This record gives sequence, structure tokens and C-alpha cells, in this order.
Amino acid sequence: MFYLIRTQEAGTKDEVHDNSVSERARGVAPAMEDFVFLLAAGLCVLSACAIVTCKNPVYSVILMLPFFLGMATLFTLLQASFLAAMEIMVYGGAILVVFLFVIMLINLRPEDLKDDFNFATYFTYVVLCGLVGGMILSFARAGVPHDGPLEKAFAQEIGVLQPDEAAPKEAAAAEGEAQDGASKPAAAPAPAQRKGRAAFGSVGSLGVPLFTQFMIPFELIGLLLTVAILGAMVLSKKKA
Amino acid sequence: MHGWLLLGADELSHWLGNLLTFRLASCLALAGALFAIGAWGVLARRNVLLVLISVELMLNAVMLAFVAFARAHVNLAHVTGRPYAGESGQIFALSIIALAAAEAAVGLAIVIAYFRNKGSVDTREISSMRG
Repeated sequence: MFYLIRTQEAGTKDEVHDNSVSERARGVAPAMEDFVFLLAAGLCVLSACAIVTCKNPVYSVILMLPFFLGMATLFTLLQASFLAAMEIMVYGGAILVVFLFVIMLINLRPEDLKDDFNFATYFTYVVLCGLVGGMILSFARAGVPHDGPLEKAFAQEIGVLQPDEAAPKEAAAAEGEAQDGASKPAAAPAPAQRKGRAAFGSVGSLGVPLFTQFMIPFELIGLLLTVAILGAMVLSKKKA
Repeated sequence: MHGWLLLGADELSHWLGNLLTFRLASCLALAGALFAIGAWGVLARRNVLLVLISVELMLNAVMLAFVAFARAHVNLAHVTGRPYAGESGQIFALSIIALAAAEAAVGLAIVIAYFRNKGSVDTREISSMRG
């Protein structure tokens, strides 16, 4: 298996949209989806930056709310509606409130809030910016391995491989889907798969594998939560 | 074939368009950026509570990557022949939520216990276990 690094020729706007995620969404126009994505991404990045730079942890915790709302919007765009609801309920409803409780409980003095930003922190900042910049640049322009069908498909999805370079049958199937969504039963996937796709991300489509295929991990998560609750009680109990 | 650092204007606009549209690559880039912001918070902040909050940011970024790949798997189920790969990704993200809840509970309990004993939440002063 070899990694073929190829730079991408500048394509037209249509070519860019041909293999994008957005055209296969249900009901939302691609431009609108892009707009909502940019809005939610900007909200997430801005609030995350504010969270890690705020001096007062109360402001950080309050700013977690727009962050989680942006994440839930992204999850909804990615057709994970149940996860979006869980994000709001568990993160926005439970974890955020627990953090706020603890901050109120330990009652920080103003001198505890001092946070010096010295050379090391700025150096860390520069290194991380370099890493992320290189990663984003790689996503934007570098090649991905496209040997097998999965690699080809992901390469198309990411946009480094045009559909006509892959198997033309797959590209035709993808394009047929791009045009008519999940309504036309003519293309390659079986009807059962299509039905699963239409309900993807709902409670039912997650619940069935969660209680069959992933039952043991699910039970283990329950055990983990029990142990964590017991541990938290033991740790925070005042010594007699 | 251009070199790595030669940026033509039309190519640059093409990649920028790639990143500004809603697609897998842009979701992954966003997840990477959020993860790096959280990692910076963990490394640079001195308040233990902010370190825990930054860990939550990092977990959220990982969840975003999982969900983006799950969506890509569903879109490409006819190619990969794995119709339920997407559900696996979302279940993984769901278990990350549970893990984050457990981690927050235990971490905050440790913070409370430490603050009760030492009266501080500064990571520079948490050095009693240094060898």
C-alpha cells in the first residue's frame, strides 16, 4: 500500500459540490447547510477560545453553553439528532451545572484567579497553532491513500479524488443519490439499507445496535458510571 | 504537480472553498482546531477547574470527529458494504458522553477534596506527590 500525494487541480464550483457531504442531506439545501455549518463552527471556535482564556472560571463555564449549542448544531447537521439531544441534556444540563456548583462551592478568592501567561504558555500556543495549521493544510491540499474501495470513497468524500478517477459505477450511484435523496429506489443500495439511512441517527437506529451488538460495552458503561458515582462520593466525603 | 509550499491563488481559493463547505474534511479540521484549543487549555492554564473544562473541550472535539466519520460511512454505505458502520461511530460518541460525565464527576470530587485539604486549586501548588 502506498501513499500517493497529489495536489489538486483547481476545479470549478460544481466539481467541488459534486462529492460534498452536503448534497446527500435530507431536506436542507447545500448552500444553507454550508451557512449553518460555518455559523456553528465559528460559534464553537470562538466560545472555545473564550473558555480557555477567561480569567474567571464562572465565565468559562457559562461560555460552555454556546459551545455545546454549537456542537449540537453540528451534530444535527451530521444527522446525529439523538446525539445532539444528548449533548444538550448531558453536557448543557448536567456537566455544566456540576461545574458551576463546584465553582460556587469552593468559593475562589480573587488571588486564586491569577493566571500568569509566561514564555512556556506562548511557546505551547505557537507549537499547537503550527500543528493545527499543518493538519488543516494537509486536509485541504494533501492526498490521502486511495487503494481499496474504502480509501477511494473517503478520498472522494474528502474531495482529493474526483469521482471520475474512481470506479465510474460508484460515482454514478453517488450522483444519482445526490440528485434525488433517499426517495428513489433505483440505485445500488438495497431498500433495507436505504430505510436504515433515512432513519440514521434516530433513537431507534441507535438503540437496536446498542442493545444487541454493543450490549456488553453498554453494560460496562453503566458499571463505569456506578463506580464513578461511588468514587466521587468517597472522594468528596468529609473525613470524620 | 506543484510543490508543497507553492500556493497559487486559484488553488488557494479552491482549498479554502473545500474547508468552508460542509464536508468531512472541514469537520475534521474543525475537530482538530477545537482539540488543539482544549489541549492548550490543559497545558497552559493553572486553574484545575479550567483544566477539567479544557478536557471536556477535547472530548467534544473527538466526538465531532467520530460523528463526522459516521456520517461519511452512512453516505458511502453502498461503496463500503457496511450499512451499520455509521451507527457504530455514533454509539462510540455516545459512550464518550458517558465517559465525560464520569470523568467530570470524579475529577470535580478530587478538586473538592484537594481544595478542602490545601485551600488551593492552582496546579503549581499541587506537588505533594512529586518524587
